[in-house]
Amino acid sequence: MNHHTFLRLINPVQDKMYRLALRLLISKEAAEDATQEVILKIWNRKNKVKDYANIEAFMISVTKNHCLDQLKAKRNNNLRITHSNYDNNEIGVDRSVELKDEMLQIQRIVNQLPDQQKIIFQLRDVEEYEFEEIAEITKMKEPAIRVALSRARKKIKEELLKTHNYGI
Amino acid sequence: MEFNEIKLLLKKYDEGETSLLEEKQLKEYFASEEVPEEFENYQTFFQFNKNSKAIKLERTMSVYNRSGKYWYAGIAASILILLSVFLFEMDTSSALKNNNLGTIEDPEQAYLKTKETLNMIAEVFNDGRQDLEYLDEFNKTKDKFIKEQ
Repeated sequence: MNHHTFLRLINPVQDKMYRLALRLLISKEAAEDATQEVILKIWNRKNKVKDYANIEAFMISVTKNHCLDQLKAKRNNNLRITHSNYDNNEIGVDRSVELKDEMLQIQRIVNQLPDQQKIIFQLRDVEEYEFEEIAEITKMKEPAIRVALSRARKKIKEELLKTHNYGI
Repeated sequence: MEFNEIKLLLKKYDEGETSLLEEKQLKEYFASEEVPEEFENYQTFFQFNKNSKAIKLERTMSVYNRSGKYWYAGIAASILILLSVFLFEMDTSSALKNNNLGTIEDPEQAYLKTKETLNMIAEVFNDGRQDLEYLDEFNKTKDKFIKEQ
């Protein structure tokens, strides 16, 4: 497989990889780096990749593991990941200020979820994967995924309600 | 969709029990403008998810390790190499053109000069070899203990 074929093969997946990396690493720069590194990693192992029936799930899975490793390394070094571009382009420019505030609020809430819930929330509610696919990516059992998802959804709802009630 | 139907679906949704199809219905419903006040948070939430999915990777991906920290060092190095080759080339070619290297025309003289040079090289080699002679001591000692077969 030459690199053109490879890049065409991964093209539909790379935005999803990037979004997952962004969800976990928060910084745009770090997420871009992570996506690039994962693509390189898979390219270097491309001869083995043919064996994987579902390359998309495989790539998302590698991205997930890579980001978790990065987070672990960062935490071990007692470094906080920079949240410099906290309010990145998740919000369209033409939105009203109020809506933008609300989007930022959710962003903040999601950022505080445990990594596992972030991943499952991202895969289900943003990328709309079936539970089977999520199970393949995360190597988790379906009931456990549903529980984590439910927790994430409830937590977001709860926190959103709180900020509304207190008007923070 | 009916208010009660939505409410039921949302409850199921919170428990993580909805199918993708049902979630799609919810998304479509909340994409419409008028939503009861009770559901406003859900609307924001679904809007957030929709926005999240619209994020695109802006950097072009490559399979060459150029994203690393050292790609610009590579460019700098190649410029340096090119420049040095270019300058060296200029320098030597002008030197070759301008300078008389002192070529000896007479064959007899050339022969003697060559011989002298080769002798000098041989001498230097011999000097170096003398330093290795003490290695024989090792063999002598070794032979004392290990008999040749």
